[in-house]
Amino acid sequence: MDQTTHATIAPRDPQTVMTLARLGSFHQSRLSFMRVLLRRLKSERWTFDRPRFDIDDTGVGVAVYSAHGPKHSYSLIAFANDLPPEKRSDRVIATEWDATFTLYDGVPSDADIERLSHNIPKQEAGRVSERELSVSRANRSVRLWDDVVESLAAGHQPDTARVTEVGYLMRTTAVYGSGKLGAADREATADRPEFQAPFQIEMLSVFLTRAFVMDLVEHMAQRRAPETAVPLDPALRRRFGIGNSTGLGMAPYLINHPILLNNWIAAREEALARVRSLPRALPGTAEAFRVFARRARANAHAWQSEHPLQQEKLAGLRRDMDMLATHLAAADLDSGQPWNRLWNWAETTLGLEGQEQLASLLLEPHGELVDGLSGCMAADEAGTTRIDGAMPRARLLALVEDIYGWALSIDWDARDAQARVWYTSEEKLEPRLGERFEEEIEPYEQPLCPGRDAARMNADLIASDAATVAAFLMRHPEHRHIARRTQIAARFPYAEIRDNTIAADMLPIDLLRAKLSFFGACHFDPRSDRWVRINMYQNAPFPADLAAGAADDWTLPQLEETAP
Amino acid sequence: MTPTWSLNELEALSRKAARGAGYSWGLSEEAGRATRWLCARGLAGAEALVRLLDWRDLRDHDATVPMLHPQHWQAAPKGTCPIVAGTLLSDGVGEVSPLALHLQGVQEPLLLLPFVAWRAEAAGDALSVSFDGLRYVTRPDGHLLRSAEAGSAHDGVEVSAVAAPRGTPIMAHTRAEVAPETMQRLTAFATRTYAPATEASRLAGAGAGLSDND
Repeated sequence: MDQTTHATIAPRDPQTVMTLARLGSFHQSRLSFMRVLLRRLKSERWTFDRPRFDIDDTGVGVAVYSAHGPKHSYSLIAFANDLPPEKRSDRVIATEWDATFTLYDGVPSDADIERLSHNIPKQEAGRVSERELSVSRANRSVRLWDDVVESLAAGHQPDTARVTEVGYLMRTTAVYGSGKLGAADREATADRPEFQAPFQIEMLSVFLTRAFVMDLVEHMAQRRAPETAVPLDPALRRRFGIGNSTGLGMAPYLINHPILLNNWIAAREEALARVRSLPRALPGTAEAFRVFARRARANAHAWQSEHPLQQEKLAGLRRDMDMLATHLAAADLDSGQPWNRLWNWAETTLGLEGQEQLASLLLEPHGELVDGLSGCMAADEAGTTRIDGAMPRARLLALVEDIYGWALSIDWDARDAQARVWYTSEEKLEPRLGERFEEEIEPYEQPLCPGRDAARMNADLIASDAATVAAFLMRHPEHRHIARRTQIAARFPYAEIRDNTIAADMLPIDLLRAKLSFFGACHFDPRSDRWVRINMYQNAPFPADLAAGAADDWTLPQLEETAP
Repeated sequence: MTPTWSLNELEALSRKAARGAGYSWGLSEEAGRATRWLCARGLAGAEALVRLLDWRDLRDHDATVPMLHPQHWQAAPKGTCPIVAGTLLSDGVGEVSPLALHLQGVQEPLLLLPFVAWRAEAAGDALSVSFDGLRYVTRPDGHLLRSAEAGSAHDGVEVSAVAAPRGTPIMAHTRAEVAPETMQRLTAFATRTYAPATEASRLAGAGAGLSDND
């Protein structure tokens, strides 16, 4: 049987992958951006130092954390604040925060820090330069912060259960990169190997932010009671991540960057297809996979959320992980294209949560086969969006039917089909989602409903006598946006979400989950259908741990820690 | 020191401003991209866009589309929009080889330049654009040259294939140098795309609570 030649498995059909329900069930994987970053920091032997830490007894001051790579250094400049509780809002419309940050390209001079001290604490109301790569801010988790400072000041460790329950001392409420507020464009640093994969600037900023926050909490305890204070136990210290509150603002991102979305999904699908195509298990991988499956099961049982939608999904995930455990007890993982057989079993047995968890798990023991794909996940979005006007109208029509066939069967006159409007509010330019038939917002609608737009274009394409796309668009400039998307999706199969993004029952958190899973976020915890809290780098090594320890084995709990 | 903006900021603001002035989303994307392209070469794209939007603000699309003849694009009834004419060029309309085209009555002809460059890149030809006594040459590799030869003196824009592109290369800029007043005028157009905030939308539309004290 081992001599049997097995067919190479093709990546999954975009029609299967690109539904909101499935995107909303994605899990972090080896290709997630936090993990890509830490693997690089480790393999290139980056070094870290803290050239400045001037924080007073009230917690106000400046600190600088530098990371030194083969060619470039980067520094997180942190401005710590003593924020009164009434000003603590995690909405994007807040104006003051417990701490504000920028990632500086190099090591800043005192003059740089002085300049930035007038701008970074103001966030959107400030301006930065091309020497700055990101701008971000964070608020304390008040309950846990006070708890930890008091415990450490009194000379003992904080309660492990409390730490585990909250998981972080500060949560970021926005991390801006790529030219926002005057910072350097992504294009300006995209040729540096460390920034080749997407969002590496933002992930490095959060990684250094975590180091700062842990130093700060120990510093505050020390200042409060110099005689009795103790530092955090190293094992407990690693249990703290950086929280993140993400609202609707991030949801349109995936729709606004179709080629980037394609490249993220295509890399993951190619990785899955490579593993499924293996004729037999590579040495050691079957046993390693069984361990990862047990750890994922423990993770599913430890993952808490108060939101009913997520609780239902978690119940499904736990059920799926239990079934996987039962199946693995008897499954042959050695030969006869074992991973593909496992996958085929899962597709007919598990729910979406379990299937997508399995997709991530299958990559775990196959780093050598899949890690290189992280180099294909960025997108040069400037060079690829010219419309091919010479394309015959009939060809565009055929593409619409192929890519948006699902949308052509929707009755777009039904209220529920177009109940929502994506728009931008005048206040802080925050993206919002409104009700088309209840608010006066339709004139401000953003082009974030490709399905409906494709259906509208389809009707005009059928009625038109234009020979080419160029001639059609000359008379129909209103379809130019969706015509471009269609041509992009024809070349990039995973560029388009194959679902109605303005339906009455659409869940923005599905879009948020897809994006955050690629960041590498764990323990997705929705607070409504449109905003979410997550934890970043929980259980990850700190900068100082990378040289001696493992860099990439922290996203799933170790088995001795949390048995289901 | 002239204030600078990131090219991403400039493009995003230009796109929204064009939408605010009445362009479709697809054409607004072209306007944003074109303005970025010009600023990334140190040319006054943002200023040209502001003047264009002031002009376009009072007009319908159909009144700004040129009438196409094989070697001559006749001015639209209210003047030809360079974004409309530009997209026709970059979409590949006017398939005459070698290209030799006279465009009449084009507003802000500088804004045509990026579209001609994109056409040159796609077709693998070098193209020259001349207007207002200036002459630029776009090479198929995307580089822009400023030609020493004087551009066409008569009214209108000439776009034509050139066998041997010659001229002074125009260097890439990583930042947009634009006067704050120009950015403010673009912002005024962009603001038209934002819905006025209401307390209801503030609470429901974004979905988050207001306190972060936990």
